[in-house]
Amino acid sequence: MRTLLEARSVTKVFGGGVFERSSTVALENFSLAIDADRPSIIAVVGESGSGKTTLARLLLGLTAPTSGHVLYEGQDLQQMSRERRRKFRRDIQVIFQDPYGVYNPFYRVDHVLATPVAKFGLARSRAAARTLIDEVLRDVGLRPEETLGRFPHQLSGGQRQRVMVARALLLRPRVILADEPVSMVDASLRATILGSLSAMHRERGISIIYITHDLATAYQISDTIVVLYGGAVAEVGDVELVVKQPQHPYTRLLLSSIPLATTARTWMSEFATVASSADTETGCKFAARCPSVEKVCRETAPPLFKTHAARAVACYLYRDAPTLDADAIGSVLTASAAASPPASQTIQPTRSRP
Amino acid sequence: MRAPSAAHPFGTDRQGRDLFAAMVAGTPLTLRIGFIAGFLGVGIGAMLGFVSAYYRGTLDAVIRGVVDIGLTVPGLLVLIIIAVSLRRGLTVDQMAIIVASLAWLNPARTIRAQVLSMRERGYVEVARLSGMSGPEIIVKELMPNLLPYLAATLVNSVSAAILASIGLEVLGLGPIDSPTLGMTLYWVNFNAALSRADRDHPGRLSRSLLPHGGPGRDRQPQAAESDLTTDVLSVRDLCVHYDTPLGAVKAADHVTFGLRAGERLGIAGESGSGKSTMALAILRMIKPPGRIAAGEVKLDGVDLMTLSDEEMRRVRLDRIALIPQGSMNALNPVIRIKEQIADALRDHRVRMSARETETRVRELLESVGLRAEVADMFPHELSGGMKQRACIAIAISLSPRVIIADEPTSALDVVVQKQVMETLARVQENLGASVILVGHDMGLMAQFVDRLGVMYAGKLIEVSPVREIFTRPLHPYTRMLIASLPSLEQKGTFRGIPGLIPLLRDLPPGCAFHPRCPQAFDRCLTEEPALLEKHPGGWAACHLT
Repeated sequence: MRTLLEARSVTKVFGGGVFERSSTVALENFSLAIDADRPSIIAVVGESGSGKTTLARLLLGLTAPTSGHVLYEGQDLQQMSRERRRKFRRDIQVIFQDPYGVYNPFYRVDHVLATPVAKFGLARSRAAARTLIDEVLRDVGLRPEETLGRFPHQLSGGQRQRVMVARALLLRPRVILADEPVSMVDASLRATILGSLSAMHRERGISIIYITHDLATAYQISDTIVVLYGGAVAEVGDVELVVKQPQHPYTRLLLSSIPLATTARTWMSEFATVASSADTETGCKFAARCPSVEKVCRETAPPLFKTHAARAVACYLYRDAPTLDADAIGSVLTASAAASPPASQTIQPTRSRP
Repeated sequence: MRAPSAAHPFGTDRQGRDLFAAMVAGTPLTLRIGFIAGFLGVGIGAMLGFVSAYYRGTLDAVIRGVVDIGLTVPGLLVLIIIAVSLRRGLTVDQMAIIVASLAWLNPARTIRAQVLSMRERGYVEVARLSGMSGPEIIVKELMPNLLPYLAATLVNSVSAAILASIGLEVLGLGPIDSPTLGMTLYWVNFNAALSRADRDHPGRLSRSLLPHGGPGRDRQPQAAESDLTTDVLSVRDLCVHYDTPLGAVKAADHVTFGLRAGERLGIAGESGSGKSTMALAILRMIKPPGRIAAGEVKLDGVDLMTLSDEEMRRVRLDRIALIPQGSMNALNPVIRIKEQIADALRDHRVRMSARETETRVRELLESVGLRAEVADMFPHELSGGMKQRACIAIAISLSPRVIIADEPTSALDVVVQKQVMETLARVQENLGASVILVGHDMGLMAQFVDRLGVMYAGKLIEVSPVREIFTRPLHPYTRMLIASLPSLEQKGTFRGIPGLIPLLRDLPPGCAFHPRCPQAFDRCLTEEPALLEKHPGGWAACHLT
């Protein structure tokens, strides 16, 4: 597989400088790879503090990893020439969470669209630039005449977010990193924005990394899913497998906590309120809240166990399965993008849950 | 030396020189010093501040170090030393530069702080990803937004420079030959010292003491009219208008509903639907330019709209408690949790000894599932979910009849959200209170409430028992809203509602939803549907049903 964008055993630690007493591990030994030849939609799901925003910033080269590498076409982002960096900037586009803060209140909406056109020389003339901008705005379902020339505060949150999608499209990127793109948008418009993202993937072969806290939208648009907890991968693999038959206790807790918009299934109070004891420094990050915790969990962090061709779980409940090196996560991701083998082949937990 | 007269409004000095004329001559010179020093100070300071904050790293450390050291040294003293050493033949402009030599320190520091807070803004990152270079981002993205701040800093710097220059000049350390304001003062003082003034004129300040305005006397609360309804709270035709130059905007328009004892009622809607406005209006907490234009809100038969402000203040928390949006961030960061709860009790004149208060606080915390030790903690020591529970504890401290929770979990993770909602449900059941849950998350509504009202463009368009609303919604908007929610059961069943939420100041005629409604027909374009009972318990405002 030729990788387009890859995180290889990336760790990011904040703080811990000479004057700071404590340091925080935001992301630990994380790997992810995007196939250059087969575009896919990967969802990265996690709650606050899971490291998902740090991951986004690392993948965009906005911050440097403490250890490990982020590679673009095999080249480290931190050691790139100016020229390569420009190409990278163009190929990897981003849609941020907050459709308010990404606009400089001083300028009209046009500014965010005109700047990349000018900076990357996308059009020869003003008229060509305008045509290009009109085209991408129409692609995301906006009327250019009603959008351009306005100030950001004159547009609704949904419109502003679609302008950001249009901006990403303008550069004809190969990867779009969408960091919580709909969490600040009204419910009735979420589907529209996610719809235009998945249309881009389908029609233009753009890979999408969808970073979110919302498992339900992640399930709707992605092929594969990475569940993060406390900066480490809890479970990774095919989205149908992970959502329909969650294996990691954290994934199960997360799924059971989602308030579903149906009265048919009410909130299961399986293990909702597990009192959190002290965090373990070395063991599994979830140990303090886990109902199936064992002694070993508090001592050593579990490796990934490959419980299925298209799934891996970082939990000792599945210690019978072969372990998977963190930087081999790519194999699980590609296997799941392909047709998944029947679910009966999945490895069951070695211990029944209490 | 003469006293002020018609010929010499400010009087004269001992040599008979007119002080008014001296001031007229001196002001431009002093202003010149002020402006040159102010501009230089802000210019240099801004440059260093921008560079320091934008690039961070070693450069930042060096600049910050210099500024910090510079600011710890007493400024006037340094200026005196500089001025003394350069004293001979100072000109006005040299004076300005001396003052400027320290004037950049403060701007550098404050501008750095401003830029620091801005450099993480979304648009700065978007500009970086759009290929802008560092200096370009500083000039094009950051500068324009800091212009008002720079202008304010400049005014401050100029006035500080004027003060500093006058301070030096009064000591005789200024341009000896120029009649700046400070030098004039110096000469006046110098001459006065030579011959002691014979009279002194103590200034007389006319003091006007305003009579102490006390609060208006309390009216006696009205006796509760007994109203034979089973509703704890009944809201009828509640209208909230926002006055704008273009006319009144109806943020809540004839909202009518009842809340039963022990019931959990949800009010759902998207942004701008008027759900929060409605919640605040029940508590009479609408701030101008908004106002409650009409309607009544009866709590146990008493119309809250007729109460005096003081009576209303007591009803809040005591009878109806609000858990406002983002309330966990409204906890005072420097006050311990127990003090914040005790404040609420004291504010409502609950007479308790310190001991009793302490016990009550602990009881309240335990009832929301927090350990008693939390009482002695500060808000920053608690997690988001714990803070939100502390807010629930405050809300229930006086055992209210009705709890209004406005998006109580909007900033929390799902797992914590579930725990907080379970806590709210438990305390509500223990108190026998009713809850109005205001929010946009239909999932949360489905899991929590008994009955659900849906708002659109300031109106309640459907109220039904929650089971029915999710199985057979009456209004097309409700149906489409439910369809727009992603499910975990099936892929690809996730559809947005086309079109946009209408602006309240520019509502379409007829039914406000008709431009987005696939089933709209001619009647919907002209006639506004009323909220009618379509089947027992199921109300909708739609011409279809």
